[in-house]
Amino acid sequence: MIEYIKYSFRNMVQRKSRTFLTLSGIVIGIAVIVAMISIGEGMRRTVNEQLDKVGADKIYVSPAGFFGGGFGPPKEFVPFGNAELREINTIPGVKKVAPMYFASAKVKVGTEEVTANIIGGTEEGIELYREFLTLKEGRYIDETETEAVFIGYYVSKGMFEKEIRVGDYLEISGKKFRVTGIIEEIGSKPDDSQIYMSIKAAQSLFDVGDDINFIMVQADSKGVVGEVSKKIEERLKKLRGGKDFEVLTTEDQAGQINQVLDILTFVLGGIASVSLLVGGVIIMNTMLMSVIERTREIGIMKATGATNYRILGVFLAESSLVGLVGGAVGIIFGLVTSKMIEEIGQFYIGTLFETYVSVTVLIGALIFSIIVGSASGAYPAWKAAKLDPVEALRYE
Amino acid sequence: MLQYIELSLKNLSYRKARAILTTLGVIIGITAVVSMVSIGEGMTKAVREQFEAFGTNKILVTSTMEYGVRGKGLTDGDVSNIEDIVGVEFVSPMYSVAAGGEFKGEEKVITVWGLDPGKAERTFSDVGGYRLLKGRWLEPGDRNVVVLGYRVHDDFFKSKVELGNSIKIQGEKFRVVGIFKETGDPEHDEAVMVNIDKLRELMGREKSVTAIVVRVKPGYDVDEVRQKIEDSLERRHEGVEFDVFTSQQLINAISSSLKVIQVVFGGIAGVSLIVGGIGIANTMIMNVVERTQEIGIMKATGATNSQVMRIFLFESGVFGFFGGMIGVLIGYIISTIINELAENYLGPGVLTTAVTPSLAFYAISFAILAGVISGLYPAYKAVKLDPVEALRA
Repeated sequence: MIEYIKYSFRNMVQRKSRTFLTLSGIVIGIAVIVAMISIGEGMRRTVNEQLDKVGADKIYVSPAGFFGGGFGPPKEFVPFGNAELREINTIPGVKKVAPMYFASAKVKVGTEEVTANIIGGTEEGIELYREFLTLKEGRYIDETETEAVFIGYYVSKGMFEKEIRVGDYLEISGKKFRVTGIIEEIGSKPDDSQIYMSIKAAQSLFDVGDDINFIMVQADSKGVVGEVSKKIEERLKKLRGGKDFEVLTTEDQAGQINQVLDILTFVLGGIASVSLLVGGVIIMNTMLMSVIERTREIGIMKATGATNYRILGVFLAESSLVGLVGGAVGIIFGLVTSKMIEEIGQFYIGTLFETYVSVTVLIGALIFSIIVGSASGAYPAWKAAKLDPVEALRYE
Repeated sequence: MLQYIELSLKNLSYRKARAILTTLGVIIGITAVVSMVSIGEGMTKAVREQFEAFGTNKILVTSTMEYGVRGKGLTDGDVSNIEDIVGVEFVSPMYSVAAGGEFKGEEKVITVWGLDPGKAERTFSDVGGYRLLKGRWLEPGDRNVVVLGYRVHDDFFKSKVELGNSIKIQGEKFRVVGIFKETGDPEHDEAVMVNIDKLRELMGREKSVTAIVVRVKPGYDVDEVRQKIEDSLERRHEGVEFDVFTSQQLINAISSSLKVIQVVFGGIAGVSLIVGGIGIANTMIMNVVERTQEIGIMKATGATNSQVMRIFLFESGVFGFFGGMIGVLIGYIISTIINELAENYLGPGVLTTAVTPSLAFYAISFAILAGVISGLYPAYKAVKLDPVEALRA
């Protein structure tokens, strides 16, 4: 008697480790998929939130090749000047035109020297910025001030050993500027690393005359943005003798970014799903063993009147259950992994980096794992259903 | 040794289906890893070859165009200064710009490279390894003529641009005299080449230069010449930064960023190998249970614990080995297919994949290792069996 108890107990333990291993395959697969998709989803959310803040009534005009030049040799672009500004200003539906000059420059504090992005803007630019930036302390600059800047959060805290406060001085390209204000943290290092000054100050600092390399346009309303951006394109084409510039609306921008993120999510998720495939193979293996071990049991079931259909159902149900449980546990691990990735990402990229798992993804993952479970169980279940009851009963 | 092999092969075929499925797990894992890594390796290789064609005796000087601080970039003066440096054989200035292109009323932003017409052929054929498909190179005296990258001729505009056609750049007409062969590098295939002076006139940027290609005389040290060029630039432009690259530096910079991509993708694919290992562990545990009696007999007839251990570890290692072998093979096939697809859809040389012998070797070793590690726990279980109990099972 004791022997029998010991035997079945041992059997149970054996079964337990088999069940455990079979489940872990699915768990790991689903966890990796959920974590990978959460990166893409999180980025998309962040980007769209930011673009929402900036507002759908904005149009961005820049010389072609100004943002990112690809791998090849550097390309020059032809900057805008006052002629372009005048032209855009005459277009109906344009509410505000904010010319800007972007540049990167060496910024010195004490003996420390860092390269940072400088944005030169006019009163209109500062007004537009105020719509989506909040001031932490101090004040914005006035258009007429040529020796004052307001700075991003990271410039004040993190970029230099010493914290930069309102009233401190920064040496930019050899010239001293007084800090009048500090922006609230946005959460992405590049955005928090900007230094804002008047466009006149930037143009004279970099010795570029009245060059403008970025124009932000605000349309009267979201509704006319498309029309206005088309008009801008037409007018500037005529003025400049060719289309050597880009006109983008916030919506265009969102579309472009989302397209890239879609591909990223798809590729990462796709590679991750290979693990789930392997997990499915393990389920099939286990189910196959289980069918062989239970050949006699199946024979008895059949002998006592179970139909083939019913036996198929029993085994399919079992493998689907493995898929469901594995999927559920996998989602939990996936959420944990995604949180870990978020922590790491925030450390390197900034607090704006977040991972996000939508309910759709959770439900999708669960359904997917049930499908994998039942698909993997299909062949073993079919084998079980096909067993000849007489043979099966004779099986040792 | 032979005994172990015989025994494990026998056991493998004993439960054929199970063995196949277990190996399949490893195969899929290794296939995924190999195909992923091969894409990265291929890209690295392509980059390396491209720069090796460029030659290791070349130096590329570019303005740091981050938000291009205009008016402070390279100029013709720098070009003649570099010409005077000892050890410099050949200097070719370039002015490239994103300009408005137009063909048959269709307008698109196009990359235009301005070159000294007398030096264009030498710069691009000799130094860059680029070849003409049709027509001729730029020649001294050429003004309103243009040589097209392959894609500009082929599918950049809605209709094909042929020799003798005219395209407009910034509103001015240029006659097509030559078309380049496809290189697979979109940066080159989607660019056009014109006279540097004509282009600078058109853009209102006299004397401006965006890149300088330098070739070092044989027998001179490339790094030394590079240093001299840097010094000369620093003297002329105080506080402005330039990038002076030798091809070796460019190769290293690009290779290291490709490595990161390779590690990330290979790593995610590697998770499937872990799952494959779990499959091995699963099967091995079933094996130990089924063969309890056999293990009892082995022990009763004098097999030591370490012998039993080795039998099971070997068996799980065999799963890894076969899985790894077949996985590498299928990975190779997939990588070849990706190659073909990329060539058809993206053009030659854009994305080449390569399964190097070292990748194959590491993949198989890794698979064996995964197998052995997965076998550890089951093997330990087998060793721990009490021979008396085991015989009674």
